[in-house]
Amino acid sequence: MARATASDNETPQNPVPKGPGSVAYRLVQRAMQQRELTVVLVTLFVIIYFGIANSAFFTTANIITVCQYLASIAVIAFGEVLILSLGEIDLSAGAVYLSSPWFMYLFWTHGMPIGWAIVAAMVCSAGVGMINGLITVWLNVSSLIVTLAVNYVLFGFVLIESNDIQVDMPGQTGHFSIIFGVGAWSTTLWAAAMMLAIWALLKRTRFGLHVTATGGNLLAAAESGIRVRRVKVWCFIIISAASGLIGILDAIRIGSINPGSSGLDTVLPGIVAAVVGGTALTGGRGTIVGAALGAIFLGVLEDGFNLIGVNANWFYLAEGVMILVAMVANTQLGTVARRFRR
Amino acid sequence: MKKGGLVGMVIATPGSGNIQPRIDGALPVFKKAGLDTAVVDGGALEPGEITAVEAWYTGHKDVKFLYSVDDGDAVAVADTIKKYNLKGKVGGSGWDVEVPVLQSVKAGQLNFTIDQQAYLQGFVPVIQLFLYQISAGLMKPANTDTGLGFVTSANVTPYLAHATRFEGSGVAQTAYAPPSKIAY
Repeated sequence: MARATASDNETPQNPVPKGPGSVAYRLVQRAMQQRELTVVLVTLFVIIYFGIANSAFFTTANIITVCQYLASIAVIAFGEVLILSLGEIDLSAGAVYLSSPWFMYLFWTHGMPIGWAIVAAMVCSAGVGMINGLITVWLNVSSLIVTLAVNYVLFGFVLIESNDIQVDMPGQTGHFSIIFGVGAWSTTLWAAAMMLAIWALLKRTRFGLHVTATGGNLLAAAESGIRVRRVKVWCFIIISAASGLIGILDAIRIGSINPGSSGLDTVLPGIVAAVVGGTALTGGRGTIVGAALGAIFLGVLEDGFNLIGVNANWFYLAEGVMILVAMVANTQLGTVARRFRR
Repeated sequence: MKKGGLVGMVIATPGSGNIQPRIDGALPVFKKAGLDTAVVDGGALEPGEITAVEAWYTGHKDVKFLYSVDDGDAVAVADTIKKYNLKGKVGGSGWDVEVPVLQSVKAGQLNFTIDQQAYLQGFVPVIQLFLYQISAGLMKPANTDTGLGFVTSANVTPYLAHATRFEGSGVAQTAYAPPSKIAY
């Protein structure tokens, strides 16, 4: 039975250009070797579908709307790529995203200039990441539990500090606001900058090599002299700082902050974007470009369903089915792609 | 609004017990008035609510009114009306009296918001139960209408001028001077 299954798998189900030496074959082989291929295909599919379904999809206004929506998902996803690559998970990134504007607001209401209030809020956000990392690696507590607990701690902190009152966000005027969130492309450009920074960190630095090595084989990495605990703590700091920054930018863009929002509603799309993009939940494999594509996929879905007027009651069903389809396509195409990598 | 006009009904969390009835209650009224309706999922997060309402508006530019049933979506509706310069062309309404929502009423982006007197909703039942307890059950809790206040540009100013814990806009136990006349 097992032999029959293996044999089936080895028989190409999809027509591919014959002959390993042909140009077409090599092109297909090269495409199949890209981990991001599936998410590229499903994203293109939904873009084309919504573009045909509603002509407003390709308007500049709507593209800005999509980009503003996906910026926060993307930034959290980039951080999760680092964390997931290490075989860990960070469920507090959404809470950091939501609490960092409150940190900033508190510093600002206590007289700190707005620029310094942003810096101080980011330091607080990074501090949250450090706490996550230190508890995970030094006290050997599962990062899932640590970050889930910290998620609740931050939610509680915001509720207590805000007295449950929704407030206006400072920094709404002048060039400052244009750069820090209010500008139409502001959050998108910040997200793109963070993508480049984290991609370069992962692909072009010794630290990135250490992240990959630690995620690939923790014991071997430690044996070869990599300070694996330090690597993990730094990754938790990076995701928290990035989530904090994009949270502040989004809050300035919106103009008000609401204490009643749940961090888990924010972090889960980020994790989905990373995984749909090709990052392994089990660690050892991560792709920043894939996470960006995953965020685009989710952003387009969210925007597209609203654009074509999907009823609120059907919305989550449709979104869930599409995510499932994307992941099934990902795993199935991955099986085919493995044959091309041999 | 003329018959056939489209109303976008924006809800943060479809199905949730505290806000879904606000859609369910308004829907038959709109339908009876001959209006076309669509229920829009805003999502539970304010950044997402704004992009959801913007996206929905982009695909439904013939909308005549955006009716939101929670404060986050009220901010989203107001922001959309402001961003696309729809004041006077597309009506908008909110729910609750959080300061950003009131400011949108003041600015004319929202035609009204609903003040459901949430403090009274909590305070009155507890006081009635307390009186029931200490009167050997002789003072029976009575059905009490805590009121339904429409906050419009005509009466929004006092809300913004008085930060009060009774309306969720302040925490200090400030005692303000009574109004010159009782008004609803």
